Amino acid sequence: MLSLDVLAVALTVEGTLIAAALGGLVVLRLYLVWRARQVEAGVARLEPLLHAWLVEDADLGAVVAFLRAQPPHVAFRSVARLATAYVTFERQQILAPLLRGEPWVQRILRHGRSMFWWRRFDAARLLSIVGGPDDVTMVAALLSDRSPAVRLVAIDAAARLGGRLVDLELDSLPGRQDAVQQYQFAALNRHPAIVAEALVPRLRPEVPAVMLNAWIDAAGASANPVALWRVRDLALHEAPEVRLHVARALRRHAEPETVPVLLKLLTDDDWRVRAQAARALGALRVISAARPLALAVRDRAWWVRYRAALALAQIGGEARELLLEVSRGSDPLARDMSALVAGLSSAAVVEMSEV
Amino acid sequence: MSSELTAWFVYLVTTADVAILWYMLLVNSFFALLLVLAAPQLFAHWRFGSEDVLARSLTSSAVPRVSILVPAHNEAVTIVDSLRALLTLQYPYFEVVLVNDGSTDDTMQRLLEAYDLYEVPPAVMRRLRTERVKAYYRSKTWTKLLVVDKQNGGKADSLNVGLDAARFPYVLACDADTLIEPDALLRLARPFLFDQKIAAVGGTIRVVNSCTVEEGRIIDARVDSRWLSGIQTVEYLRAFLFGRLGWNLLGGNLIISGAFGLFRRDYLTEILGYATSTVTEDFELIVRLQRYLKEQGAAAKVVFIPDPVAWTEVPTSVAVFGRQRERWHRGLISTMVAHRALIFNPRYGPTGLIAMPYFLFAELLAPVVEAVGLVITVLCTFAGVLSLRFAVFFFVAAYLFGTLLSLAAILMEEVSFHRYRRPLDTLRLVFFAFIEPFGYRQITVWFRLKAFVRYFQGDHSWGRMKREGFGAAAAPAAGVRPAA
Amino acid sequence: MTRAHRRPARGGRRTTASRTVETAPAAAPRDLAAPEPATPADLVVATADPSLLRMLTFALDQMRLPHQSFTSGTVVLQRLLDLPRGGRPTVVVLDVDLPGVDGHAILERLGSERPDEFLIVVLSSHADESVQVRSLLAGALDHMAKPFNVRVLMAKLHRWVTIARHYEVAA
Repeated sequence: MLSLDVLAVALTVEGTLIAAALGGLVVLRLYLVWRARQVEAGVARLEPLLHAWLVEDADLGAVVAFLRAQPPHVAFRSVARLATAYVTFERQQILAPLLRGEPWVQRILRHGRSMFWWRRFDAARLLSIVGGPDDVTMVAALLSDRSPAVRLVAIDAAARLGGRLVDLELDSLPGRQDAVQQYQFAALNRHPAIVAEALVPRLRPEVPAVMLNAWIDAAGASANPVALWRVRDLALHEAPEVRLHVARALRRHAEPETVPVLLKLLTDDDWRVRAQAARALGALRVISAARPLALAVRDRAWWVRYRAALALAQIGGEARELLLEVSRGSDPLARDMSALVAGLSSAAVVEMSEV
Repeated sequence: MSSELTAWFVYLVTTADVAILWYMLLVNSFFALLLVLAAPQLFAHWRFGSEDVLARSLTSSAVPRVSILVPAHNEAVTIVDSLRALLTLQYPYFEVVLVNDGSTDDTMQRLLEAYDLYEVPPAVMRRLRTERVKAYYRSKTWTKLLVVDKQNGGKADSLNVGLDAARFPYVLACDADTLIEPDALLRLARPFLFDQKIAAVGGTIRVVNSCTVEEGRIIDARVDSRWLSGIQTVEYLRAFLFGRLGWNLLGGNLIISGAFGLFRRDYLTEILGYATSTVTEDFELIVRLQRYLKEQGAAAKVVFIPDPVAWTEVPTSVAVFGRQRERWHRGLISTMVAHRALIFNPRYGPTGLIAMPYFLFAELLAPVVEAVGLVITVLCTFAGVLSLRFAVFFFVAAYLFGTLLSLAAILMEEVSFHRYRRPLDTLRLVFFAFIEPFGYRQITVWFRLKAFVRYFQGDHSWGRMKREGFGAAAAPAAGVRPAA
Repeated sequence: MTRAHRRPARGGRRTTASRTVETAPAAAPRDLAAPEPATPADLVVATADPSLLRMLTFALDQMRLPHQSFTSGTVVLQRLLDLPRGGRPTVVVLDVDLPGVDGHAILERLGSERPDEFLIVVLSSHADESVQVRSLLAGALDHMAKPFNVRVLMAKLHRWVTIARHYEVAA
């Protein structure tokens, strides 16, 4: 009977696999527990040495010597765990050159061109802590790695090195999703001067909108006045998308010349532009914008009403009076929105207008 | 004549049995395929997640803004605590929209007192049709909180009200009685950092029974020693850890638990939110969302992450368990019927060609096939048509595969997240993996079969609910649905 | 922190606070750098991050600043609210991420119920402008984004503890 034979074969295979799974369970558990303990012990012993350096400025020699005595993965994990959480960027700059030449560092960095993504990931991660001028080429390669996880960590490594990597990052920006872009902005902010210099020639009206938008956002995130100056000149761009990004970025540009531009954008045809312009006027606390903002609270678009009312609350004083006036007015939508915002605590107003 | 008939009957029965055997091997092999697809992803998520990149993404604005939607119906006992745990999640940008779905106990009263609520004007963009909203409240002490009080209309209706009141581009639907890991949102944000265009993210739900909970956070993960919840713990592990992770590479998931799922708000609004007419609104929503994405040609994905993000209480009595499984299966049947146009439809890509057929054959029809197999084999063995040896081999082969997959899931949990710290708990998991085929599976088949009966009777109710432990009187975590 | 209590959650969600860590500062010899000896409640540290707590404890011991530490938001809030009114202001190092009640909520509660009685520095992993502004508006004296410079924090704490000794809040 054929099917009985089939069953017997299936049973044997299953039995073997089950035995293997059970064996694997025991072995892996023991192995992983041992490995985790090894790293935990490393972290626990490195911690006081780092604390001594951070708190009392003790000699880093002890830290370097300790790490050298550890197995490479323990050294790497303990530094990665502690350095990122407790060592400021400035202090990392002191730590980096001391560790860069260490044999265990060299060993992990050699994996930067490995075919396994997790090895490249480790190399990129380590470069974000100890990277130096010699590593620019490798970081540049990791920045366009095929694994998104490696690319992300490489952004931190690039932030450590700056220089020509900033240009590379700015060029890669437009192709990235929102979250990654935001991550890049935070990293780029480590080098405000280089970023501003690289942004200015990029902010030209003839640049395709997709790229322009990303760079306008970068300028906004950097809050650099020179770059934002160029952003302001793009306020009359024909693409509403671009005007939207301009309005949003300008909330970081506290210059008198910004105000008329934002007031113009507050009457834009596109409601998203109007909403962002209102938000920017609030963030910049433009008292003279109170009347136009009070008009915007009567806008047909919900988001414009919302942003305008928050802006009035944020500006305060006379603007708040106007907000209360609208809340007693005849337009039911404007009345509801302004009454809602007028009742918010100052902390709530800050939180809602920033996010 | 009679001997000819007997021979013919034997032939028929053996063929049916062999066919059923092949069906089981095929379905189980598909699970094994999912396992193979899941393993590298699990590794990637674990490696990336165990780095402190997670912690650093907190400091940047590189995380999507999220509105957490919490429908609550008669949760007076626990609502204040659950809400506090939500409000203290580690995440830079979120708000909580709690929707009180016409509770008849003092849920609303307790909220008003504990959170210093005051009524605000209804300055909300209404886009969906829902039951009447009575009032909106904000808190004087918690700037992140918005409470909506509305007429009773069910969970889907409450979620739709929340969807309208939400102000951020992503919404997280969760149950008021689900325990959420403090860093759950950060974990859900990981696929965004992987440079993907996201329509929805789901995460792993685990079983909370027997775990130690302090201040709304799990501090000690345990495995319940009682058989029903213990086996469900294994089942959840298996279903989430690779059952769903594997689908990431096969055209996207069709289930994101109603107890915990992140969605892009504008897509949900486009498809008019949750359907109020179905008993498993979460499954129906994802099918509709996948359908919409394919029809629009949108590149956004429905992804699943293996990280344990939320913990739910599972039923510990067979009666409640039965009602839950019956309802899930009924929801599955009605959703599959409603969206039958997708099945084997190449226009819907992998969703139409792989996922929907899978749900039809391996999920929807599974209890029928299993029951037929059981009945035939048992009857024929007693009648002497089949040898006892064949019957025993048949059962063992069919069920051992399930155990093997459970063990694989336990192994994966051990090497990745390793939430059960004590060897005793791992032993319990292994034990439950072995006893699952004896009794538990048959009970499940029975309740799932009942779903067919009730579906054809036209019953669309939720059935009576009962909970023990926290979340007294609430619905059993609607649609956590671990079915692999 | 050791988990002192283990018991199944079947009986309902537990609301009891986790164990607090009481750091008994070694009796510090007085020298020129150290401010006047103070009651332990003069300086309170609240963080759920054990490594950060060890670093702060180490640094504060180095500075000979006696302090009390807490790992739960609920407990630290209760303790601060229980302090007698009036008396000297208490300096508080407050991590935003605390179980139970988060740092921002504690800040707002203290600001509304006991204004001007606490000098609070907020520690948070958010470097964002909005979060910082929010902390300051809610009554914090300072907001430091992690990773922060411990030496700078210690200098500030030293200064504030000294100031706190010099003025008493009107009851």
